[in-house]
Amino acid sequence: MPSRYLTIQDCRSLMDFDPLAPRFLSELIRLSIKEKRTSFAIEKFREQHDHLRELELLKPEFEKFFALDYGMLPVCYALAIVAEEMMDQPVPPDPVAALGFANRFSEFIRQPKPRTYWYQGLERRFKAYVLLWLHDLHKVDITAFVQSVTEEMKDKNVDLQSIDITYAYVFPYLMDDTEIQYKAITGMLENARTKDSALNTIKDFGGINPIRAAALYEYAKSHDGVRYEGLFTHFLKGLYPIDGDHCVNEAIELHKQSYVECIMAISWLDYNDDKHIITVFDFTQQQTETTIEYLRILPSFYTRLIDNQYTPEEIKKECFRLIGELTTNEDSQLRGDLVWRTGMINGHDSEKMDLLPMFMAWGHLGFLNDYFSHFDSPSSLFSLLRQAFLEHGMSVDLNLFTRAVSGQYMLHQAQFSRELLKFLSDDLAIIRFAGVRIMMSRYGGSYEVNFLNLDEEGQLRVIESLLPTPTSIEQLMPLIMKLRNSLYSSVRARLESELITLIAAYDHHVVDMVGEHLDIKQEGDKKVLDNLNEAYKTFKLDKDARLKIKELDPMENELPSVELYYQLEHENQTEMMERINRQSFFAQLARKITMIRGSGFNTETNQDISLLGEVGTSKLIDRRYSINPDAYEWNFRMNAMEKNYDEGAGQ
Amino acid sequence: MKNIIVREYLESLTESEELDFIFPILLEVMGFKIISTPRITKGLAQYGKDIVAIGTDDDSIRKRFYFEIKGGADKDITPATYSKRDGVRESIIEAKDRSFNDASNPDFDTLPIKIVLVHNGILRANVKETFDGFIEREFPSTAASVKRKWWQPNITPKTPKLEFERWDIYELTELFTQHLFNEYLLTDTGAIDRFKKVLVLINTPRNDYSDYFHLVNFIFEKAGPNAAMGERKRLLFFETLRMISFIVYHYSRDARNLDAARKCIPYTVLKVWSWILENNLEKEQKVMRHFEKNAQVLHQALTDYFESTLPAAKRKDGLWAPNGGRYEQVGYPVRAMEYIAYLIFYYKWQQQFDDKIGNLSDQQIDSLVTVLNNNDGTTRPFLDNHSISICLVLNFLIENGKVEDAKTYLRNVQGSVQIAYHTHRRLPDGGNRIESVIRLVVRRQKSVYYEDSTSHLFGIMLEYMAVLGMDTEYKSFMEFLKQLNINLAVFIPYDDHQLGQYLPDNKLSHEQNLISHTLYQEGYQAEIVLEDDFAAFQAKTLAKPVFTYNYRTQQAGLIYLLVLAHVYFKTPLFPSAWRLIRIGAPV
Repeated sequence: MPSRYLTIQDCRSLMDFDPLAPRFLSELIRLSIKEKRTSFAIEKFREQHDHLRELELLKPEFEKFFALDYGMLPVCYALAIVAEEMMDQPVPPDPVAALGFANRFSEFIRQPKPRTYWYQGLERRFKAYVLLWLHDLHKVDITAFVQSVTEEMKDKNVDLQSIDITYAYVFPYLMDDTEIQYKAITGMLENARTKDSALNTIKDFGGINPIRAAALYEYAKSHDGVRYEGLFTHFLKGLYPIDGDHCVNEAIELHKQSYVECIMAISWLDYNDDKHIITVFDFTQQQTETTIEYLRILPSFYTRLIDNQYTPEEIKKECFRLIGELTTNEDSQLRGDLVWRTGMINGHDSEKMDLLPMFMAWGHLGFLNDYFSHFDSPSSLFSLLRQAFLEHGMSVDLNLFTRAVSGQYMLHQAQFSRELLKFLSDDLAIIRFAGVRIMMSRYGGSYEVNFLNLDEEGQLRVIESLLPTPTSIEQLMPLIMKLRNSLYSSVRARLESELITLIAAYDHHVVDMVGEHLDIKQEGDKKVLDNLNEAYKTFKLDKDARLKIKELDPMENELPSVELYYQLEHENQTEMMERINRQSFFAQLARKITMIRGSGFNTETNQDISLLGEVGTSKLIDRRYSINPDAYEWNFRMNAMEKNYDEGAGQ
Repeated sequence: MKNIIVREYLESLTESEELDFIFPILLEVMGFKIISTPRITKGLAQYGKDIVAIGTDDDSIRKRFYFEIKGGADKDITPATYSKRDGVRESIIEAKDRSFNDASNPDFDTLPIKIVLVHNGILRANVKETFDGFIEREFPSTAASVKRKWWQPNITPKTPKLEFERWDIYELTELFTQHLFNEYLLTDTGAIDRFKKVLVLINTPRNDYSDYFHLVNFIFEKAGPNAAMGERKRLLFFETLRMISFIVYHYSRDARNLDAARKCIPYTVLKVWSWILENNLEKEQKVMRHFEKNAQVLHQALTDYFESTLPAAKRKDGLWAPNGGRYEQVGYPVRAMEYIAYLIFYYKWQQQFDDKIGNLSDQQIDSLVTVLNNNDGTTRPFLDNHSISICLVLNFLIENGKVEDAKTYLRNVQGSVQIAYHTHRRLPDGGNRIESVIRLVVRRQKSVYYEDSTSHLFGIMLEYMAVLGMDTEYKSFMEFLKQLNINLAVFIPYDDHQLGQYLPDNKLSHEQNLISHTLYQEGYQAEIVLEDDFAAFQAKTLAKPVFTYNYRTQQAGLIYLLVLAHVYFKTPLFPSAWRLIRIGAPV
């Protein structure tokens, strides 16, 4: 639908006609500036929301919040009034001064943290608005002004630095001649810096002012518009909601000038009619074009049709088949786009899983992390993981799936937990092992699951999978401790005995960690803690007795070997840090100065002494590993590979 | 300087038994004939006669000497130590009043008596008057001779029947310096420095005991061959060695860490035995008595060592050190292997001297099996020469009728070797360098010195499997080794004839080589070729010739010394240790 607000006069009329609008806008803008936020709870501002929604001055809602749309002129109109009041001066009628005013106002509302740009697109839209205001009310030729700004002027005056980008926002509202407009827009398309802004503007142009957009499109057609890749596509995309039939025909007709522009246009139209879809799909099926430039656009075409709600099912099915056909092409750009766009298709889990082996056959599995981000359910991912662990055992590189796993956890938490619980209590040891690895693969923590949702056997299996050789006890403890409230006494007893076993691995940390999750006012919890403390006491007596025996103390009798061990370990860590630093983005930005003595440093340019900060993290290590790493690792593998409850089940 | 070192050493003898131990050594080198020592009278009331000896006094008169020793908490004469029950006063009165008979010395009862109060402290001023008054009363004719300088001429014109003297720390310092330390230990600045370092550094963590070893070597150099020394010099030689062994033992025990004693004293004992062999003295009873006294210090040190550690070692992973951190990945198994080697050596030594062997070996087996069961470090060889510990365990179990336990142990070792390879691609280092092993464990890098393409340990294990009839284990281990393409062999020493033939510069016999250092050049590597058929391999192994040698050490009844030589110098056991085993027949 074309915009209701094309001029400053339109804004004035609205404000005069509807006094609530300026009041609500002013209220929300001031609140926004005061609280440094752009969204408001609908519930709290119900009246403002409903009224401004009616006037189409809000952005699409996100959950229970709404935000003002500064792309709408009346919002900027109200903003300008607030700005003049806050800055205690009117917007100057000169373009450079007006942009300076907008800049100062923007900085003012960022205070006290001027580097925090909390207001998203407000600044750019406000600058575009003041230019339009000068154009409408002060008859300033904005196009001429923008074209008169040289690179040198931009360097000297910060207010002019992004004038060309700002111009793209005001472009659809200017009343310039078509010829001037064409010259201006093609000028922007020729400049790599402004090309994207220009294309966006052309796309928006159709929605804001379709008549002038259509005129400019016709002008481009009759001139050298085909030279500019994407120009017609964006025009048609913007104009399609106004006249779909015409745009579809225009898009198809484009093949006479350029197959690439044609397939691009028909790919990017947001179809709202199955007739149009059938037409363009049939058209593409009749084409015999095989240039790689053409083929590279087909993934967008097929995937956008699949995602389109108006596409008939049989065409969607055909699109999936055609995607499959494209996988045989060896062009890397096409392949990259194909797998990425297929992954972006919403839902269609089964069809996407059918395509997966074809993508995997390429031999590069890096795409897997993103492939599942638009799946409707984590079942497919877990099914793939199951297959991977069954085929490759412990050698599966879970890094290939970490983002996919975290993505599914974010999207479908309940279902994810169910799948993970199934893994953790599976008949097959390797699948339980996979479950543990998946659970612990969350960055900086573990994925939360509620073990109490399992039956007795499942809960016992979880304890057996997780506790004998825990991979990260700190993250595991909050989850596993929930089992102390299990309905089954066998589970509670097993949990307690396994925790007692862990004292040898983690010393008193186990008692501390367990204590954090217990409520000693509860009889059962108190008993668990008492038993643990009792076991720890015995352990401590034994440990202290050992420490008194100097004959067996390596610090007394084997110090050179001990020192060699830790010296080599230090060397190892230093080399590892060196490797990390070499690949570090920060290391490329920063100058590296190694400190060889001192707890702080200064530079000639900054005489202040900077003290070294301490950055550290600690992770509990299972002490049993140092007793017998071979057996520890072997037991770990056996636990992961061999301990099956029912041979062959679940395969 | 010399006196200060000696005085500090004597003052440091904080336990009364320590002075009891070294004082008789002094008396012997001073020419006294010792009739009774605290060890002999242990457990019996001594009545003020800790040591009874016959000797010639400064007045050239042969006398009975009753030495009353006060050390430890009683070393200083204070009002308290003087007057307490069994204190100085009471002891002197008892020494005077109770008679001591010795039928083996016919003239003993007729000799005049001299009571000597020996204490490694001083007479406090606040009790001096009381003490002097007491001596004047009890020994009226010799009161004037209670003097600080005991060796000054006695001014008493007529020899009394009952005399008294007091030897305090200063006098003891003079005596020890003059009669004992001057001959071998404190002969020049180098030796004094070395001795000082031994005393100061013995229990410092980084000590590699090189000062101790140099000092011992120096004493041997100084002594030269037996032919060049007289009776007294030889006595001093043995006693000096015994003294420094004792010093190490004493300092280690004071520091509650007998590890230094375990590492140092065997060196002296083996070196003394090597010297005895070199000088063909093993049949001289006097010499053997001296040697036994030297060995006794080691036995005592090991007894204390195992009394301190065995209860802990018998606990679950008792040989693992909680404060070792990640180093224990290597430290624990290496320590455990060494521990069981010494334990078995100690047990075999005990068995040699214990009459109730059956009862003793039951206890030993029980302890050993407990240590093995609770310490998987004892089954994890990191070095090829951990074969020594493994062979000793297997033989000890087999000798004591525990063949099934021996098989279980061997199975465990085999399992550990295979798991170590499957988990960390690690096989024991044939170069026997702990540094290489640590590097491999920490950095996952094999140093150029790491040698795992040839293994004696695996060769030995497979031959044990043959003699123990472990068919299944043999086959699975053989399969494992075949994949790794490892050369198998054992070390066989040259006999004396071969030494002359292949190493003409080596003038020592095989036995002397074995007793004095680790054997490396002094033998050859004999290849072992596996057979697919176990019976064929078994027959081949049992039929193989074994190295036999007439050890003089064994003839002297000191077979335990051969075990000590293997354990201490880390020379792998020779094939005769297992190829002669026949299950069902005595080993």
